[in-house]
Amino acid sequence: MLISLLRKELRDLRAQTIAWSTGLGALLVLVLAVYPSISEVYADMIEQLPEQWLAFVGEGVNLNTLEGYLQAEVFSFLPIVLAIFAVLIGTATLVGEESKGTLDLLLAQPITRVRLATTKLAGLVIVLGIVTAVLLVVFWVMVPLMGLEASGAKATAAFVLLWPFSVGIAFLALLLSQLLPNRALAGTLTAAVIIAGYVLDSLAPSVSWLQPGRPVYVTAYFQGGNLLGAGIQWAYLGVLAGFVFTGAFAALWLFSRRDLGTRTHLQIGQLLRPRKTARR
Amino acid sequence: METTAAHIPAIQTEGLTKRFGEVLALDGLSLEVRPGEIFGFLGPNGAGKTTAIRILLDFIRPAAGRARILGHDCRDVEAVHRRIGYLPGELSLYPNYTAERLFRIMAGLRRDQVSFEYVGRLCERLKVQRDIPVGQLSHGSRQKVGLVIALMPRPDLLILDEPTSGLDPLIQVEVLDLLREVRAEGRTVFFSSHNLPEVERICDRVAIIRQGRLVELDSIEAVKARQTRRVHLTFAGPVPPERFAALEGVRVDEALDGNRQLRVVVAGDMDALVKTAAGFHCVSLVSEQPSLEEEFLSLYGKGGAAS
Repeated sequence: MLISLLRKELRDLRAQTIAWSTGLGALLVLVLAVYPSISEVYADMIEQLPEQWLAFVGEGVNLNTLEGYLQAEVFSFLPIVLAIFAVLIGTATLVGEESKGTLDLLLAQPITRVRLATTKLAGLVIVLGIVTAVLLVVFWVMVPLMGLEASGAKATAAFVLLWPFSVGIAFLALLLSQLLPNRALAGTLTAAVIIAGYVLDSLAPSVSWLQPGRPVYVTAYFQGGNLLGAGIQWAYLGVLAGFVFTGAFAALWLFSRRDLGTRTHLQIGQLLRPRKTARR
Repeated sequence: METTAAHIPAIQTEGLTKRFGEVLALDGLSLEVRPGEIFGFLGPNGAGKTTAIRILLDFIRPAAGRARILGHDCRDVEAVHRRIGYLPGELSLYPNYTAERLFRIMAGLRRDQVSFEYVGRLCERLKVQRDIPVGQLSHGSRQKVGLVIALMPRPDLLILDEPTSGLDPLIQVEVLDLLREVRAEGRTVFFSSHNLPEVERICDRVAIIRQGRLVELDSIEAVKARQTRRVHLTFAGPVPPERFAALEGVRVDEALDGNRQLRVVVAGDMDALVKTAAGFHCVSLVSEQPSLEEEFLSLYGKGGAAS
């Protein structure tokens, strides 16, 4: 880890971190502010909703309670919006610098690619942790302000689970950015995977043939909503944790082996060639 | 600055080969840069100069061959980069950062290697604006920031790609003076440039590459000495042009004024031509001093340059 570089990373991401924390925090304030007035309407409405629609809203969702409301109205969109931020910073961190040419400046210094990339990954993890922490603080400031009652540990855990999920998305974007020719393509593909995952994961409870595909719907790996409803699925959390480590490792491996500044196509042969055989 | 054994080459490449898809960017490039010299690295756009430099810095990996820098494999970046300073041909800096902040960040990556007293002296000599975001600086001013970043750790080897690009003439002179001082301290400069008069002025030896291959590597004087030169001979009376055309390495281009004047092209030394001319009443002999630029152009020939 390179402290001076980590400081620079955090400084570079400062404006985005503040903007996204503020934006998501404001959105959370708004959604929580309307809860007292909307909860009664929901109670009447739910009785008239068809079963399939309730399934789409979320498994085991009880909109009469704050936990149910959070599950349906906060954790339905918050992971997706946070994931977009994760995609943006995940694709920018190495490939963004590479395409701008500033990566050369850093790598001309006496640091290995792995140390540089590890520091940048640490920067991503910290920034996403800051945004998650801001949301958690906003929630716990709003709860007493609005006179709400919430299950402390569960609600806290649900917010905290945004962190590994968004880190996983950032690392997925980073990994794809190492494999694909440019940042835009990597970002678009990751966003497409997230949106498709969101739609399919939401439909899965109502459409039986979509259910077996849940392990590939990336949004299924955010278990914060389930924590407040039907119950957490530990297997998904385990896979997410595994992906965070293997995704980071794979991205580091790719970054340490490939040519920099020549992003025309993926050079599989170069990646697979043992390091020493490059010498005549 | 670390001490380097005088016999260890600053740069040594053996058969460096690099291909980008169908394009063979480097084709078995072998060269050696001696410690303590300023080494010119010439070639037209697309010749493979930047590819070679990027391999030296381990930004890209060769398909074959190897490169050693100051005795280390170029892939041992922590050991090698601690001893080199690099200025890329297309310098990109963080536009929101001031030069001062950039110097601090880069120094932070080199631990205790940088003296800010020396950075101050460099900034003074190059007239660097330290407190303005580099995004607001002109190309030349950003180039000066890049030069300070390359020079500030007092590296044993400087790899500079077009270092004087965009600089005003006074600063260009200052940069060349700085590089001479680097050489005087026994350090090495690898100087890639299109500015041939500048290379001629400062470099000890020069390598010229074309289409990824080394076509010339020698001292500036030797390269120029090998160049064909134009000679204009004027005689008091007519001379037989065929006597001159028969000489090895001599071609008679024109015979004028009833064979009293000859315009010839000489490859190699002038000895045979001078001795033959001395057999007649030679009024004048004018030889055009070859420049490195002429040598460069003659090596590449019309249309010979890679695109």
